[in-house]
Amino acid sequence: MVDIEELRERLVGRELPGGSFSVPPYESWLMSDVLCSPPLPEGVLHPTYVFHAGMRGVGFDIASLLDLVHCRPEDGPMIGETDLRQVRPLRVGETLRGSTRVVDLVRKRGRSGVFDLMRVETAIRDEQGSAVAFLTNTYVFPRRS
Amino acid sequence: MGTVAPGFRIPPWRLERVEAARMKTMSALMRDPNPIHFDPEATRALGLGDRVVNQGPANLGYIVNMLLEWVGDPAAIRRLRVRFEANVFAGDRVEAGGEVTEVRDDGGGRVAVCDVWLRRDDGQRLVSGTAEVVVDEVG
Repeated sequence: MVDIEELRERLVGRELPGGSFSVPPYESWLMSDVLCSPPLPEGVLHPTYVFHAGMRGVGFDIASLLDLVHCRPEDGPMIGETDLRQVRPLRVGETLRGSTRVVDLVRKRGRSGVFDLMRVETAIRDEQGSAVAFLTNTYVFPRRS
Repeated sequence: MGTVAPGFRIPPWRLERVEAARMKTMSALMRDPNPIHFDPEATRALGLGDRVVNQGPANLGYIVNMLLEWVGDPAAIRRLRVRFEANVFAGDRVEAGGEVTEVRDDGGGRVAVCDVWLRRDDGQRLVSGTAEVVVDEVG
């Protein structure tokens, strides 16, 4: 099992690589369909996209995040908590930039065994640098071996 | 819609059946390689049963849908803090609900603070938390 102190030393306080992204109209359509969303105003993304911005606004994808903490997809990583703050709705096609920092990482033991909780904060800004949303996610990484 | 005040129950939003096919699309949209969302072999291997597991952000999205149907405007949703308490599986019937606990004026509008949740039809609470929503246009 990966050493928690080594992980903490390497990750807590670390800025993850920044990234930019935009959501094309077809992805917005698909997301609304997946979520069974009520109709949205023209050009506005479903607010759940703030959550996705927390992943896509990082310079790597979910697989890379799992590599970072030595967790395999088949270990059953999960999202434990999320705190989503929307300054204004995200818009279809606009370029958004994310800056992400690991703020905490702790090891716990529960009924299902040992797991790590990692809290990550992301700020989402538009091309002018104005904040459009903030996200704090706590991920659960089971440690099965 | 009635006057928004503490104790006001937000009209619930229901999904009759969580579909496995939608999870596959969500995995592709999120670039999420976790196989519990698309491969029943993976859920069996983890002791989670034969049905694939819905993505957390989809469960969050159902609560957002409830808020959107209530207030109409995505811009009215200021904040949503939730804890994911249990898995939602393909085939589940779920309902998002909420109740206003406080109404305050923060200078930018009248904001309702609400307890929100997602439950399965057997009563199992799946997601719970709080939302802050501008209700100037609601009443």
